[in-house]
Amino acid sequence: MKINFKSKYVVTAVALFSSTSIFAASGEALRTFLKDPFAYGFTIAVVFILIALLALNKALNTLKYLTIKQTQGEEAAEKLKEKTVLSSMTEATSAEEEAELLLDHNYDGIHELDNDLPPWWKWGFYITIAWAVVYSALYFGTGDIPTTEQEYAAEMEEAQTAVDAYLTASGGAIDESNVVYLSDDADLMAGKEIYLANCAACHLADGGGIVGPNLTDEYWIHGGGIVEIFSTIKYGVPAKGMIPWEDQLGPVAMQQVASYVLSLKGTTPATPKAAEGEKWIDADAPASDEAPADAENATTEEPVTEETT
Amino acid sequence: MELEKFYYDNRIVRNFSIAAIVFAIVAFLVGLWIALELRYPSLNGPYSWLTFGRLRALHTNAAIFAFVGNAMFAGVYYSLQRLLKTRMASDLLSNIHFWGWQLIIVAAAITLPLGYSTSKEYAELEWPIDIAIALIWVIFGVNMIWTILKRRERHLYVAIWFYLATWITVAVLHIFNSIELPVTFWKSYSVYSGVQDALVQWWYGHNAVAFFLTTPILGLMYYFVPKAANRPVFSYRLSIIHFWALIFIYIWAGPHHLLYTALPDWAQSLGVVFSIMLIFPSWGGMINGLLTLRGAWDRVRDSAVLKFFVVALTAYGMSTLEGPLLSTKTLNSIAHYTDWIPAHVHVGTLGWNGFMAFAIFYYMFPKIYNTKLYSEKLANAHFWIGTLGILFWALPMYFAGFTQSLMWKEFNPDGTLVYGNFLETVIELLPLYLMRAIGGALYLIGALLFVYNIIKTATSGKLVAQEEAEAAPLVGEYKKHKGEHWHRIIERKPIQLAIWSTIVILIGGAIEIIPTIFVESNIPKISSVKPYTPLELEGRDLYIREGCNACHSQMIRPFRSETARYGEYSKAGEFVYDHPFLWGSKRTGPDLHRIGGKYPNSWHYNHMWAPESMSPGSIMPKYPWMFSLEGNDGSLDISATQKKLQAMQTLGVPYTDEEIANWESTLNKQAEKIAADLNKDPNIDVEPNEEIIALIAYLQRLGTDIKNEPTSN
Repeated sequence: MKINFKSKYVVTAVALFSSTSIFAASGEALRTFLKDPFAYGFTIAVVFILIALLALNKALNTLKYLTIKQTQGEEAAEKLKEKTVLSSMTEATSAEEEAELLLDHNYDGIHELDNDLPPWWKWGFYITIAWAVVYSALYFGTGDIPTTEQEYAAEMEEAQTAVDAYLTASGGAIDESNVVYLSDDADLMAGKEIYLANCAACHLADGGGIVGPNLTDEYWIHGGGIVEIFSTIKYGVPAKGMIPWEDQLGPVAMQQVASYVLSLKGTTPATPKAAEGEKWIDADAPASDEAPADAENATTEEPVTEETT
Repeated sequence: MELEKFYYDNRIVRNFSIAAIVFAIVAFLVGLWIALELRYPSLNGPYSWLTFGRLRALHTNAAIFAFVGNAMFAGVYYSLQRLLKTRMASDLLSNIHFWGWQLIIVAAAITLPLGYSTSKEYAELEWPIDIAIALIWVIFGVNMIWTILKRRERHLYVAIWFYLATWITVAVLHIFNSIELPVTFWKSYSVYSGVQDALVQWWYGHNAVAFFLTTPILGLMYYFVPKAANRPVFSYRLSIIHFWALIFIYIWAGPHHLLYTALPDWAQSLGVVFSIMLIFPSWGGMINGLLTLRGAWDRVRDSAVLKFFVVALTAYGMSTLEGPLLSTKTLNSIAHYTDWIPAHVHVGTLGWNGFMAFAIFYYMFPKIYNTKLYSEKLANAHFWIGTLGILFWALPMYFAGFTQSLMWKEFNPDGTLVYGNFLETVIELLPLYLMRAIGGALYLIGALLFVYNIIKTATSGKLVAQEEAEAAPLVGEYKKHKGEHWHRIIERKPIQLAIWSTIVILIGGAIEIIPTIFVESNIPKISSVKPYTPLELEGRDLYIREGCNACHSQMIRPFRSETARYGEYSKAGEFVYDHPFLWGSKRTGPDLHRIGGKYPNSWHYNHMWAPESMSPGSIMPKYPWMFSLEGNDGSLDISATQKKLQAMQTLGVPYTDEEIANWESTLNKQAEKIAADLNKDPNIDVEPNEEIIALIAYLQRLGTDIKNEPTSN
């Protein structure tokens, strides 16, 4: 294929691509880019424009070829075609004509050619230097490129606004002031999964307790209501070895696992650890203190329910 | 003019080659082993010296200094003599260089698994070995420069410019980065602390890649590619520009390893802009190599040597474009600490360094054994298996890096992290870790074919230890001839060339490092940050011994996704007593800078004994040798504690003489307190003198000082 591939298109392409990727200063930029239809559109547009330019160039060359062929004959026209993609990008003398470029250097039989610097290489180097100058001017001079601290402050502010908007729209976050027991099967199953992944190491899969206390009996060290269990999970009891889960589990997950733990009450573990703490009496519970027979029934019989709200 | 007869020393070339080949296999095997450990964490069994933390340094040192280092020396000794038309100046120096280097490698192979480590990446070796490296490096330089001075070729070829720049820069880097205060024979502390240590380390670390893995190999490329292809070098002018631009710009780029850390912003920005300017000087080498093959492409199809060169140069071009792109803040914020970085590095090492070395050996062995390559077919098979190995290694790791980074940064709309448990993001990668190990295994299999081929080649010929050659001596003054390039002048003057190179490579480092060390405003003081207690200091040394920093960072970057997961981002002033710094460069496990106080002592105790008990699915190995349990003796060695405190005091850590004198009671008190707390747990029975106590003391201290700030003022 013989196209007169002008280096300026390469330059344009490099400039366009670097402007999209490098000037985006935020850490989330690439992800945003991947999600942003505008960015896609922009990239596609750039590619299309490049293709269009190439096609235009090709058409002009063909026209030129035909014109010269008509006016100056075929031989002159053929000369036009000799420039290949490689030669116009590198402006190198072809391997056949290189004898004239051969320097008199000879090192253990190695010779050197005196080919000029490939234009695309030279231009690329200039562009990176120009980019460096501009970037430095913006950073060290005008301060238009934010410092990492400024970037962080902006990121946090933006996130806070989004989170606040979400919480307002969805009726507030779940915390110890409004947490309730979730009796839904799906929630309890989700809670069970979280429990097995994170809690079973210390409390055993059936809640019987080993490093941590037995979760199936009526005795609780830090309180056995949904609010108390939720708080214990959230903030932990570092002094006693219970870690805070706030950072690792979201509020919903903590609510689910707290509900699951509560649903274990009255089940029979294989190797129950001796009771620790106080017998938990739920102040808000109805008079009947009957524990649910097993986890399955807990959903219907659980005494500590929505009363807390 | 009368021709002089002389002999090339091929024996030294052969010796370095054999060493390179042996250590290549060692480096690949250790690499494969630690790759498998990331998938099967209990592979080390009960042996501390087989863990990832300790062997990672052995792998990198073996690959860089033992394999590529010896290959570089083999190639340099081969080409230097021929390019200068003379024998090496001194056989004695050549041999001291050879044996000295191998002894250093053996010392490294013994001390690193034993946990004698400075923790600084690619500079883990302890001070006696550092001194030996400096001495042997000087011997190599003396031998090389002496040989240059007694040359029979007026001008120095571009390959030799690169050798000279390599020698000078590696000497400067090694010496300045390794300035450390010895405590005992196998223990020292870096004289720099925190931010400064990090900057010096990455000035070194980055330029170890530049001047140990790149410039000498470019020099070899300039000799072996035109020789093997029998083609003239594409462009002399390009050689000149890309040589000077490369060595000048490379040295500035170190801070790109520390983007978004506590390093001052101005230094980070310099790292960014110089990295971008590095793209085309790097590519100058690639295109000068690839375009030298113009007119020889038909032979690439048949010749394994040329194929290796082509892929090596392409891999070089890819990783030197990728490197600068990773140095932009945008991509760095995604890729840093993830598997993307090892992927990037291994395209360079497996593709560029490995394949260059293979090609050179395939070319050189038949020459020095005066025979033909035993099997071109086998070499071609090696090529394809090796290339496949690189792809299998790199692609899963790119995928892993990207996946994990996105998982780290994903938030729920309520502002909590989707993957709040770091472990979830690790477990996701396990299949990819296995694929990477398969890639490494393929690369190793290819290398074994190579070893077989080379052995068969060598045994089919006979070593031409003394290869006869002739050349005219240099007599009289050289007359500049008409129209010659201005650069020819310096090519006739090796000392000037060396001096100019030295100036050029010193500028960038000096401008970045000197202000960071001497201008106080670069590291804002935090009054509540206090030196470590004796027990914590011992714990910190255990952390270094086990190479915890190979998998855990101690640098929380100022991103929402990091402060939500780990807590307040890390400040420069928090590390002022950290000799050496322990920021790490990869998060196979979570960041630990604010681990202090996050979990109870018992959590750490159980976790170090059996990580899976606290974190099901964890890929961290067990550390039973830190406990006096089940037959282990985990007693803490406190024989050097006082010396350590004194050394720290010498380095400017404000321990009072009284504190140092009372070190033992201070240490015991703290240990007893932690042990008593742990023993409250009915399942734990621990003595205060166990190593685990010191480690817990250190971990519980990490990142907590800053929390005392408001009250202390």
